[in-house]
Amino acid sequence: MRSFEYLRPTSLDEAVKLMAKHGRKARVLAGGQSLLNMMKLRIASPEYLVDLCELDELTTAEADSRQGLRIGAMVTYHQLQKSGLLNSAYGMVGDALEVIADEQVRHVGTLGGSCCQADPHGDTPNVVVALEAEMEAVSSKGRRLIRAGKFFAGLLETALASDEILVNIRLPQQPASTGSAYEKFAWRKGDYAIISAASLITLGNGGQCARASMVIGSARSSPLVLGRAPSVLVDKKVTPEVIAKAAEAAFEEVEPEADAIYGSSEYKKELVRTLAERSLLSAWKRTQRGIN
Amino acid sequence: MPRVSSRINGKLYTAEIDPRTLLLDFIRDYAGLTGSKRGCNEGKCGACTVMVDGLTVKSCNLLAMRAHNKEVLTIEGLATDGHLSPLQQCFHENHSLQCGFCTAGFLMSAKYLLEHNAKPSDGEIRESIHGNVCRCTGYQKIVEGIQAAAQRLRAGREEPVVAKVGT
Ligand SMILES: Cc1cc2nc3c(=O)[nH]c(=O)nc-3n(C[C@H](O)[C@H](O)[C@H](O)COP(=O)(O)OP(=O)(O)OC[C@H]3O[C@@H](n4cnc5c(N)ncnc54)[C@H](O)[C@@H]3O)c2cc1C
Repeated sequence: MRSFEYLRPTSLDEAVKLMAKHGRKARVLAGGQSLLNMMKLRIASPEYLVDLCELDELTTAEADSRQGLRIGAMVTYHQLQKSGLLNSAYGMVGDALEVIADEQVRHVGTLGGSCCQADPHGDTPNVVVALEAEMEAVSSKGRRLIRAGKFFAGLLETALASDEILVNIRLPQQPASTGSAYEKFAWRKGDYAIISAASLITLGNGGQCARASMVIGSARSSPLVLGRAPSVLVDKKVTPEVIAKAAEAAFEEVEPEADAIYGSSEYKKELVRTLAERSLLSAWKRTQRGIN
Repeated sequence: MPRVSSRINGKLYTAEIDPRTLLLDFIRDYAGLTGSKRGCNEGKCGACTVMVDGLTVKSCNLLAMRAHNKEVLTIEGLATDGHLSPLQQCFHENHSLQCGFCTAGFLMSAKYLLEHNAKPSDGEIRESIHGNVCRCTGYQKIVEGIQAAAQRLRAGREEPVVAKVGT
């Protein structure tokens, strides 16, 4: 690790000023579960490390019946798991947290940090995109909301400017009878995903599918939003057969990138079908418990 | 240089440190407590697991500055008055260690589990230790040791002490 100056602001204002002053030479420290390893390898060598751990306003989360969930960027996976905020509609978030790394890492890693890390094999980017979250960022130029779909800009890249700090992840309120789920495949428990699938289903009054969405993770350098697969479900009565058809459509639609570690595109394509089906089945099951 | 002040196993340690100092190095080099081990140094193997304010963390992947004004518990803090804790005693009796390098980390993860789940299933035990790697692959015995400790703690009875620290 190269040496750096350690800065520990006690207010968001102070943190914003520090980022404005040091710009590209500075990095924000959240849980450090990715950043410290990158610094040990000298992939990242910030001259200033701005530790956000004392910014209390970033460590709270709350539900609002109109606005949905607001999750502070520094809320840890563990805190979110214990929060009781993740109902059926946000079920995919709970699923994702459960399969990230291990308990020790989940005690420290944060939702904001993992989104800002934008690891193509990371879990949280897929669920914030699937839930159409808004990412709230602050810099000396002001506050802005970035749609999650536009936030992830490729391998370890986000839409944030170098002096911007992510402060909140806002998950919009979902209609009643919404269920969502996340399924991931890795060879060993807690490893990064080889392929993952995030699915959401909202049922209409007659029990037919009013809305569906699906995101495939690890296939490309950013979460992949599917068009055809969810449209197979919309306006139909949901059955295991229709879900199998939607999964088949996902299989047809996704061309995963091959890589040297995890294998061929064909192998991953098979995983897309399996995980799409599993996540849809589980999301569907949750629509029945979908009290928001 | 920033100043860190941290209570480790009840004792206050204060030092001016290079901010690069990892919590593991602070524990080993400043506090002189060498029970916590460095395996991978990447937060993967869990040999360096300690508790900070009651939560297990991998101390090789946390800056020592993050333990400022916090309570740290390491493996050296488990025994009292030279007597092994029931959990340690059960590891000893059940041969839950071979080379011993990973043991401190496993004990901390197991301690965390038993603090939150008095009656874990074998599956829950395996779940709770999956962030710890045993290169001797003695997982079965580790699970048995933790299961035995859970039972003993539930029974709440003090077993006769067979082993003493340092003997
Ligand atoms: C052993 C191990 C296994 C893992 N397995 C998985 C896994 O299976 N799935 C998975 O998804 N992840 C996994 N991770 C990564 C883990 O989820 C990290 O916690 C996460 O990637 C980064 O979150 P963090 O809070 O630690 O952020 P940090 O490491 O502190 O920061 C990551 C990056 O984001 C920037 N950043 C952080 N917060 C902000 C902010 N508020 N505003 C602007 N920029 C910010 C930092 O500057 C840095 O560039 C694993 C990590 C380890 C060590």
